[in-house]
Amino acid sequence: MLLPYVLVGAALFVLGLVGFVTRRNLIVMFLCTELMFQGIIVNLVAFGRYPLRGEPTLDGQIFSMFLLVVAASEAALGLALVVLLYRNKGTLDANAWTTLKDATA
Amino acid sequence: MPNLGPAISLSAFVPELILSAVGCLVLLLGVAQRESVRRSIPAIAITGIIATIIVIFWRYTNANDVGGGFAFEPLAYFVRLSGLVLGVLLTLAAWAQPRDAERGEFFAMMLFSLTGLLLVAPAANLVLLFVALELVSIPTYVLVTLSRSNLKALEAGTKYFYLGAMSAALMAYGFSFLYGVSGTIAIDAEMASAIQDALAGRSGALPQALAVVGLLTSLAGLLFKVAAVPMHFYIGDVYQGAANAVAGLLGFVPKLAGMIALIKLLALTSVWYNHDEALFWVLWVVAALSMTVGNVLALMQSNVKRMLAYSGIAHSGYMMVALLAGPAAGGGMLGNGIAAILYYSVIYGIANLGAFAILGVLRVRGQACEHVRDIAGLLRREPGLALLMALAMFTLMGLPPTPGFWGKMGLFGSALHVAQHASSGPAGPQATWLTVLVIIGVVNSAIAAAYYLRVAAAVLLHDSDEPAEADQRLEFAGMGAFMCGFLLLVFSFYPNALLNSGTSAALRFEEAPAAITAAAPPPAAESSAR
Repeated sequence: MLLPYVLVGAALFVLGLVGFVTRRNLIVMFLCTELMFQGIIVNLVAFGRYPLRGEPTLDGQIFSMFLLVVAASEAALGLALVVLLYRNKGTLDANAWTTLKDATA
Repeated sequence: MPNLGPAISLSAFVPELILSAVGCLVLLLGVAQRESVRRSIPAIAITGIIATIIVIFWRYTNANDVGGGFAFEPLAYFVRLSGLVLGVLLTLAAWAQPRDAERGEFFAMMLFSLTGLLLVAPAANLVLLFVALELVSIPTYVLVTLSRSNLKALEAGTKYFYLGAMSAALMAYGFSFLYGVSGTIAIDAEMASAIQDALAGRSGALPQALAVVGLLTSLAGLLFKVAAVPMHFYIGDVYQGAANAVAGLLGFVPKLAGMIALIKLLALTSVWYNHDEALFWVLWVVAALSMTVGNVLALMQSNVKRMLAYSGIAHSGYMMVALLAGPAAGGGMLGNGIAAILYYSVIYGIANLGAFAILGVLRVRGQACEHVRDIAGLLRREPGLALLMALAMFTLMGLPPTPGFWGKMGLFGSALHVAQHASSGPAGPQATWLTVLVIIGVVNSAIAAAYYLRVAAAVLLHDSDEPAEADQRLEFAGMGAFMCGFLLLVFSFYPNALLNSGTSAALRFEEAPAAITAAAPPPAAESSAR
């Protein structure tokens, strides 16, 4: 019964990754990384219940709790950055920020 | 029940607790009413770091506390000491960098990031390793953004944060598979044998596929931390946008943390014992590309900050040569690649920070220096800083007798040592390719000499109508730069001071896993390490 859960987790993760690469709105890009984290959490809980080796443990659920904390602190930082960016340029398009680049001689 | 193993006394964490407590204190003092209090924040931060160093010397030199998912071994001691000494230098370099309103946050984030680095080394469980790595990274996003008041820093911080969040997700995804395949979160022999079985296909097709996906994604996430090739694209923008002191921090703290995590990850596989061929090739390609791409990008830069940033990719590549050689050969830095990596990352961190600290002190017409032409003719105006800059460049280049030379000798020497001893065995072709990798590395060192010498020549030989001068208000940053130079000189003539500590830190990895019967060659070539 492990495989369906891993596939759901992989689907969430890959959707997040594809969204992160293709979308240009900074809030949507941020939500995509959150989607990736949700996929990981599905994975972890599934592996805790149906491990490939040994007995089922709570380790996976504990890991997912820590992951939620890290994701939350990243959310706090990300939204603060988004507010700063919007105040400065009035847009959240990632393409509006291209001051830094290689000088082409 | 969660498998956390034996309990550990809280007293094992006293150095980390002091650091994070000072970090919280500094954060609170940042909003103090009186300006004199806010002004004293860097002094408090540096006092906290020095107090931690004293506590470590006093009680934790031979600490061997294992339990609760942590293992305080010689590796943890090495990282604690080198991380904190670099922490002192970083605080000096960043002394006057943040604005008054943000001084508390800035130094608090620096201390939290150092705490994370100190916890990466002893972390012996996937959850703690992940949390410690994120404790290193998340404060650095804030540091980059806060470090300067212009839009460039904001742009750099945003790019770094977004890509960092993505790479953290990649790493955690990989860790979840490693956990699933082995059924345990403890990074120990049991997990290693489970992963080796899965990779070799001994436990079926599904575990094999999951282990491969897990290793590759966690590898990708960690390569971001060390800025090696497929995950290197952010580094130029981030270093250019960040303040100089913060760029110096980025070259050491996340890089050492990522390298240690990579070592821990590879210790779970059998790539050091001539198995797991696919993984060998992945790492081989990453190392070769990192060296070449980093140096080519750096060669094309006239902006010194971007040049140092891109050369950081190449330095990660050099370190990955030794990472591929591994500790199996044993016998000090010339055989044990892990010892060479530990030594080199500290030397690289000092030289890189020194170069950035000097850049941070210099001003041309009141403007910060970024280009090679800005620092031309420095020898006339600021002879001390010019000589220091040259010393930092020679170290990064690996010119004897600077410690950079000893480091590079260790990195490439360990790979050659492994290649020689394995070429007669079943892994002959692999050993040959390891030798090829060393040749690529040496050629790249020669390419790197071109752009490092360009800076050194501009500083020492060229002339300028309007040479840069040191900003007198930044005396602490200048002091930090001089301390970097002093340490480089010390390690030039007494390389053993750092070498022995690095070698004993890497000893733990020399034991072959029980599943592998590796014919360890006798330790040789010890005498040439002075």
